[in-house]
Amino acid sequence: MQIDAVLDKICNQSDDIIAAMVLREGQSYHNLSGPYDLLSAQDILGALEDAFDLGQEMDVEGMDMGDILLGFDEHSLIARRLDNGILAVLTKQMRRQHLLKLQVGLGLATRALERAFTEAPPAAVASAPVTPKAEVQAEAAPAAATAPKKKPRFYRGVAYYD
Amino acid sequence: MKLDKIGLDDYVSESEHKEVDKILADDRVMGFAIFDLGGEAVQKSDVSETTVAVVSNLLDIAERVGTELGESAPRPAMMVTGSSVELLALPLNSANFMVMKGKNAIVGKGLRHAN
Repeated sequence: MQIDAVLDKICNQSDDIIAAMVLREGQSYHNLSGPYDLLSAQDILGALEDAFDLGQEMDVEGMDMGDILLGFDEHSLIARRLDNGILAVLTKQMRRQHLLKLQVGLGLATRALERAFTEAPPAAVASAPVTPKAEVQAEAAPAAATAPKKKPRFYRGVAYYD
Repeated sequence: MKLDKIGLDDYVSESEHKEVDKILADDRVMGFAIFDLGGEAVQKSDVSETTVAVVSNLLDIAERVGTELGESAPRPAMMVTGSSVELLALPLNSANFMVMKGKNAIVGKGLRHAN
């Protein structure tokens, strides 16, 4: 599975998810769209990378840094360090419990991303086009109407479509 | 663990004091710090200088992300999860409050006693 497909899959888990972003070896991938086109995923991912780098200083203190969750007035954001990158998921404002539930669900997405990283060499992945969420949904709509519906697999209340 | 109210009048209001003390009453709390809006720790308890410095920078970075997202109030509530410890940062009106918690009561108490 390609990185952009994994990002779309993450976004399709819930209407509250606005976008998913990945930074891998300096290359960023995202499916921000609509009013969020103005945003710079690169800047957000860059800031999060700085945060994770800082967090390593706290490893000495027994604080092995896992995820970073940010709750703003209008948005929430979860960031996770991958083996050689960062995954960030931007959502509408979410309650803490929902955010923690989404955090659990990201485990499967993380594994899918790691697989996508290893299946495709970095150069090939970097050239893969990343489609904004709105376009993906528009393209998928006719196909979805004819294709038989797949049963979701539920893990801790989050639906996954294999 | 309790907040020492002396010298905090400019940073923490009376109602915020109550909320902060409620959070600090949790058995899992290992340490806390209050930062002014410039990122300086104005009070800290049972947290190292390294932690204070890192959290101060993390708050700054989180605010950068908020600005990037176009938030009208870019200071977020922040949670950083570790395998046994988690760090929470909450924006107050004139300060930021940070608390380190063990993920369960035993870890929290154990580490505090170890300190």
